[in-house]
Amino acid sequence: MPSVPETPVPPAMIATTGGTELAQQIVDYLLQILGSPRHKDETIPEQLRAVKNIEQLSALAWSIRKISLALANGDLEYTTHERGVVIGGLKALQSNLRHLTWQAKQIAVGDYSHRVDFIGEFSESFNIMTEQLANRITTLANTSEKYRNQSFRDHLTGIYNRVAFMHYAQTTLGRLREENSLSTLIITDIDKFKHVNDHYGHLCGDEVLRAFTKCLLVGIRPSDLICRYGGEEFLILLPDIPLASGRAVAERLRLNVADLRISHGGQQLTITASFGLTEISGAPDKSSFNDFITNIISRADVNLYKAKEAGRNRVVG
Amino acid sequence: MASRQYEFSWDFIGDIEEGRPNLGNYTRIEVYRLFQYTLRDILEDRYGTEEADHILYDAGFKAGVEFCRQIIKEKPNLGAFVEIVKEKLLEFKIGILRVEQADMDKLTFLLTVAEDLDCSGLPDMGHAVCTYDEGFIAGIFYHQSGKIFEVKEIDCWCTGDRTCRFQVSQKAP
Repeated sequence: MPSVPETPVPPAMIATTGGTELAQQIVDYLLQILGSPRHKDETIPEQLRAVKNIEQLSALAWSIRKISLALANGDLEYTTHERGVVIGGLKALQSNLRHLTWQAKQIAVGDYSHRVDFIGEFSESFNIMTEQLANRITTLANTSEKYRNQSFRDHLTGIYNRVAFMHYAQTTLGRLREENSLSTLIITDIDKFKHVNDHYGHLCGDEVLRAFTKCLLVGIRPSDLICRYGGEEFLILLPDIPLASGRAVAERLRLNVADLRISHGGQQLTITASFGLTEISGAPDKSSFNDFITNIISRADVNLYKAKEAGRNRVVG
Repeated sequence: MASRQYEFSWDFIGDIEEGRPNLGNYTRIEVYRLFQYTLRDILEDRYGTEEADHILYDAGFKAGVEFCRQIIKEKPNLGAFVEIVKEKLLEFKIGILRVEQADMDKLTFLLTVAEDLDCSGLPDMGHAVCTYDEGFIAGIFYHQSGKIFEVKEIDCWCTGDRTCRFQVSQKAP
């Protein structure tokens, strides 16, 4: 049997058949990268290496896979330099999420001005949440400030109580420590106050305490610190005022108190007060402040006792 | 230069309300880009690409500083400042600013500007083009901190990205 000569395949058909095969290999390769979770090998198959731009296509496909998986896992750190609309879109999403992270961090440290303007419905909810958070924090801060003020005030006279005095005295003297300046502490007590209470009643006693407070307030500077220390005893801190000048202030206060006329039940009451003074130089740090101020108050109190012993209505120190 | 005729002052912006009672305060992006890219064409042709870029960067820096002085004015902490800048860039339709990362200790930042006035919609050119924006951002940071920052665009619409990304770091003394 004569051999049948092979029909030569036309060159165009070779190209088409080879082209189809090659195209199929490229499609399979891309499907593996983008579709198969088990495919890990980033090596370009031998038979595709001669294809023009295959490295670029491979790198882009791997980057799209990696950034997608990173985003899906909440990893915003993946970096790629690949370009194009798909990877660009994913990088834009990554960028938005990074910005959202930064905004959340800012909100966490108390900056509630941040608003989200992407991710549609999420943005709306996030912004409402931030606004509500800001409102609640403001309300809470205001309430806290109100209670703090209340806890720092003496209810009867409206001036600071002992706790507030200690707090502010520490701040004030701490500031003055650096300037090496001298200050004066006055402790004053209404003379024979028990007699007022016993004779005219406690309501009258309260009235006397309020009038006495007003009288002291008029005679000191806004920068001076005054508190009701307890009962009819008051402390006055004169920052940056040495003892000699402090004595003059106390003397003026004493005279003002003596001039005071307090109306009660159709009567005009008069009172006097005694004053004990001491000078303060420097102040310790926070840890030993309580001992320091207690000692200062004791020194002033000794002088107050001396003033009482010497007949009351006088300044000692 | 012995004398200057065009040293920048806000007077060159003029009283727009009075000057354009009918046309108002807006023009089209084409006009802005036509101005920038023809100017850039001439600058590059005359001084070369690198020098033209330096000029644009410096002009952007000056614009950033003047924009802040005139429009933003305030200098609160960085977080609040960025929020104000973001609002203003949006209001002026310059772009959508976002902070991706901010390291306050190292003074390094990663910012993005989406829908950027200079480049969004341009073809992929294979290189970043927002040199003016780089300078503008450096100017903004200078206004806020008084420090000189280096700003480098690492992603751009013209490199095929969808948003421009800028690396900001304090310039070594």
